[in-house]
Amino acid sequence: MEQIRLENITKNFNGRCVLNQVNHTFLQGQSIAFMGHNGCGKSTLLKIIAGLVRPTDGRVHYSSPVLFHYVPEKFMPLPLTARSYLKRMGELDGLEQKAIGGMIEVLGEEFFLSELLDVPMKHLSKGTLQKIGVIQAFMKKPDILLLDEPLSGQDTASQKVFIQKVNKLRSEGVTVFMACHEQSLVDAVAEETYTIQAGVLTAYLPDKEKRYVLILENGQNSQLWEGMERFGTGYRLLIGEDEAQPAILRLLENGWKLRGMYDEKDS
Amino acid sequence: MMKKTVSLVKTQLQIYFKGSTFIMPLIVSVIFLYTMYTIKPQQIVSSYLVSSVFLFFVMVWVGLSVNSGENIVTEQILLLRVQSVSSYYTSKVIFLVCIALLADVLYALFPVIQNILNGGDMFTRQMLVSDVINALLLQGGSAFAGAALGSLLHPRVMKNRKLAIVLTVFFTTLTLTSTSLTAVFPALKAILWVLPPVMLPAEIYGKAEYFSWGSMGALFAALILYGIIYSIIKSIICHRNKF
Repeated sequence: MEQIRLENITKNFNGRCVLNQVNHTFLQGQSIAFMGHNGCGKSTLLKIIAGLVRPTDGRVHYSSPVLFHYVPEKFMPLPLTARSYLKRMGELDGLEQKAIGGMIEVLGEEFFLSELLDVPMKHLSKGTLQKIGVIQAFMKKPDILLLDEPLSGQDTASQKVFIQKVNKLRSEGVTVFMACHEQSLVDAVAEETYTIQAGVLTAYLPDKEKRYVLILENGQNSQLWEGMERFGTGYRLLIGEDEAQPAILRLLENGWKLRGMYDEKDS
Repeated sequence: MMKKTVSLVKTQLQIYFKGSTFIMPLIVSVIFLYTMYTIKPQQIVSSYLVSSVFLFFVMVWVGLSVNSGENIVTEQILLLRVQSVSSYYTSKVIFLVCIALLADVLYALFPVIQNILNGGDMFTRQMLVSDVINALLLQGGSAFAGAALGSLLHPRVMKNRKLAIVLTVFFTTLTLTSTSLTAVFPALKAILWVLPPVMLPAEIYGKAEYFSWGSMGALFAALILYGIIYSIIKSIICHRNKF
């Protein structure tokens, strides 16, 4: 079902055209990622979709009124504790006091924040503030979730929780729009990826073949392969996507033990 | 919508009073009031006229500091959450009204308390309940008009903050000197009507011993109207400019 339609969206900043007559229709429940270089217009497009930035020309059509929840790139501290702030956000979401309290406890625990909920935000680190920015968006199920570099500063464990939460919302029909640089997040959350080149919205194609890093342990004094490098107590091997499967099988047959496998961009 | 507006006002009040931006205007107000009401005996009407002008000035400062204390991200999150532009901007006006009301109560009751502490000889005559009510109206109007004028040049209305501060100070100075200016240059009346009539009570009451309900009602309505118009102009421009 159509949810948002962009009609000839153009945005100029100081004479520079960031978006040039963008036309696109987004369906309810889609999960869309915008990737690309800094300043290419990802965040601007996200904010135009939400109605926070007025396009220079063109219109955004909504099929019905939608509730947006927004995770900003940089959550600014307020002179409140995280608990007070989240309580206020819960009230604005129309939740009952008891439900708000429970929600803050649960989300605080899931994001490893329980002990910091009553600390004034001005004393919290950038990563912790970012988690508060994330939690406020999860207080109530929105129609559309806007994520602007949502992982910045978050620790690895919280990133995993964040991905689980976003995917759960996706399974409940929430539309997700995301501007980010992390390929791993895009792989975990997005079903369609776009980039903006010279103001035009186009499908995002990685500029080269995907490669994986294999972390191996030499269990039986097996012969080293070409390209293997020492890595901690084991070895590291960079390998193309197409060769990965047969290579892993041969490595295992030769007595190597596979200890890890990562996308090259995330390793 | 009402519930969301109330929640927004509570949120803004909590953020404001948990911060430190209110402390300096409060200290300056207390010093002013204490200094003013250590000299006795005072005339009730004229002392309230002076304090209402000072309160206007302080509230312009408060309006400016409220603007600079806001951050874009918080505004964006709130605006998206409430799904109602009118609710959001109405809450901002109510927030300013609440601050104005608190300042109003302080400025109106401080002399009452001083009078009690001085055994009732703070003023040249006995203080009546009607004096306090008239003072609440006069100072309430001045306070709201000041806060609205101070917050008129919001960062989303004028991005250049230096210019916004200079212009706000300029408008405030013009407001406080409008009576003298129009006496010398009557043609300026054609322009200066855009500024709130904060000095008009001094013209009306001069050295009067008592406030009059009729003129005070009209003054209160005029000052509130100016405040509302400034707030509407600011909200329309903010909504049009977005972020």
